[in-house]
Amino acid sequence: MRKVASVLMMAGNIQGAAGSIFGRCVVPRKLVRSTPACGFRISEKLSAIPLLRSSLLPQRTLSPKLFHTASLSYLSASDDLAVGEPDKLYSLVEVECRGHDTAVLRSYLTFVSSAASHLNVSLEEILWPKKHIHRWTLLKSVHIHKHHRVQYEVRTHFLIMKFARLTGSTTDTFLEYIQRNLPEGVAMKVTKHELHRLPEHVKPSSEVIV
Amino acid sequence: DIEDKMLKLGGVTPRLYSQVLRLAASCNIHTTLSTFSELKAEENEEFRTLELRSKKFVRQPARVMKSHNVVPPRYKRQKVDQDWGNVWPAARTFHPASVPLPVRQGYPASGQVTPDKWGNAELMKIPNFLHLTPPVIKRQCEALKKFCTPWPSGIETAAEQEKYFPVMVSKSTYLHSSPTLRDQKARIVTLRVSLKSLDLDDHGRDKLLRLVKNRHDPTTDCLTIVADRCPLSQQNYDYCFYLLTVLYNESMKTEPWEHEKEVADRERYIWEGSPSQAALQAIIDSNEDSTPEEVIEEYKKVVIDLHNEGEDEPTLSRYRDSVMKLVGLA
Repeated sequence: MRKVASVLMMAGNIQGAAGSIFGRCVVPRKLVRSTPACGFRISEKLSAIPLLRSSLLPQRTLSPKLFHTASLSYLSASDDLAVGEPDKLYSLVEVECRGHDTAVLRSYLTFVSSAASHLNVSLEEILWPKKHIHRWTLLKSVHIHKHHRVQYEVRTHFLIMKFARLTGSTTDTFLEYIQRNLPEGVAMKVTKHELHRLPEHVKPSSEVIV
Repeated sequence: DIEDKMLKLGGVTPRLYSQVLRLAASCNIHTTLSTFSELKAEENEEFRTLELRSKKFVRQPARVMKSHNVVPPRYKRQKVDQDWGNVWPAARTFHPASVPLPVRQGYPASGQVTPDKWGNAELMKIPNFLHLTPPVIKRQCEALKKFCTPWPSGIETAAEQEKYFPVMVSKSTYLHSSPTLRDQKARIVTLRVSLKSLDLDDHGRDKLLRLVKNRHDPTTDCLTIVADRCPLSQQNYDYCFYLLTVLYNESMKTEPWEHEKEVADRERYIWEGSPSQAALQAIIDSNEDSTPEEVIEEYKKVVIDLHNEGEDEPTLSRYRDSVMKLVGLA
C-alpha cells in the first residue's frame, strides 16, 4: 500500500522539492535485485524447472534518517513479503465493478485497460452483464390517498474485467493503483485465483511435477 | 397641500415658525426640514412649508455598484503545450475556469442550447477523469513498473499450471463506500483440486468420493472445498488445506469394518462373481462349439456398460447385438 503511495507522490506532477512530506525530502526506496530464481525455493533440480528462473522478487530498503521519527508506524512492513519468500502466482484475477452510470464505468475501463497495457498485465476478457433494476412503489401522501403513489428505481450496471497470469507483486501493485483511482459511486469486487502446490502430507500422482 | 391646510387651521405665521426652529437648533433638538422647504427658506422667496409628517419619497442618486476587479478565467493564461498533469494532479470536482475545453452537459430547456460549463451542476456531479489523461497514466505506470514482477515462463497454459500447481485457492475482496471497511464475505476461501493430481488407488478414490459427496464434480473430476466457518480468511485457508490432508489420509486408510461392504453398497458393477458371469458360463458350457473369445469379452463389456451407464438406446442395442452373436442368431 505504502510503496505505491510514495511512488505516486514522487513520480507525480509536483515539480521541484515540493514533493516532500514532513518537511523533508522523500527518498525513493532503493530496489535491490535479488539473485535469480529467488522467487521460488531453489531446488537442486533447477534444470527440471527451467521456467521459474525469471521470477524475481523486488526488495526494498529504506534510509531511516530522512524520515520524521514521529510517524514511522506506517512504514512497518507487516503484510509485505519478507525477503526471500516466494511470490504468489495468480492464474486469474477477476475485477467486477458496479455503478449507477455506464459512462463512468466505460471511462474507468479505458483507464484500467491503458494501465494494464503499460504494466504488461494481460486483460483477457471484458464482460458487461445485464443491468439490474430495483423498483419499488410508495404512497405519495403521509396519510390516506391510496390511489396516489410514487415509484422509485435504482439501476446497477456491471463491468467484469479478467486478467490472467499475474504474480503477487504485480497484482498488489496493479490493484492498488486501480483502486486508488476508483471513481466515487463505483464498487469493486476482486476475486483472485491463486496457484498452489499440494500440501505436505498429500502424495501427488505421477501427473504432478514437484 | 398639507402645508396650506396647516396654515389655515393653525394660523402659524412664518415668523413664529422660524423662531421655533432657531430655538430648537440652540437646544440641539433634532428638526427635519425637507429639501423643498430648506430651499425656499434659503431663497427667502416663498413661505416655508412645515412638514410634520414623514417626507415624501425623495429620489436619491442611483446606487453605483462597486465594480470588482474580476480576474479572467484561469484557462486564458494556460499555455497550449502545458503539462496537464500539473494542472489537475488528483481527482477533483469539475472547475470550469481551469478546464480549457468548451464542454456542455445537460438537457436543454425548450428553445435553448445545451447548457455550457459555467455553473453547470451536472458537470460537477459526475466523476471526471481529467486527472487520468493518457500521458499521466503512462508516467505513473512507468514509476510503478519496478514493483511488478514478470510471469515465470513455462506455465502459460492451464494444463501446465495444473501440472506444477494442482491446487487453486480462490478468495474475494470487496471495496465499496460504507461505514465499515470490512465485508463478511471476504472470509470465504475456496479450494479446488483435480483428483487426478492425487495419488489414489481405486479403494482410495471410492472412499474419498463417499466422504466428499456432492463437493466432487464428475464432469471435471474436481474436488471443491469451501470454507467459511472461521472469521478470518487466513484461518479458512488453513482449514481448507487441513481438510484436504485429512480427506486424503483417511481415504488411503482401510478401516477394519470396510470388509462388510456388500454388493448393494458397490458404487459400480463388477463382473467377477456376478450372476451374469455364472449364467454366461452355463451358456458357454452348454454350447457345443466353442464360443470365440471376443464374443465373450464383448458380452462382458456390454453387460458392465448396461449396469454402470444405465439403460438407454445405444447400450440396449449393443446388448441385443452381443446376445445375438452369443446365441448364434447374428
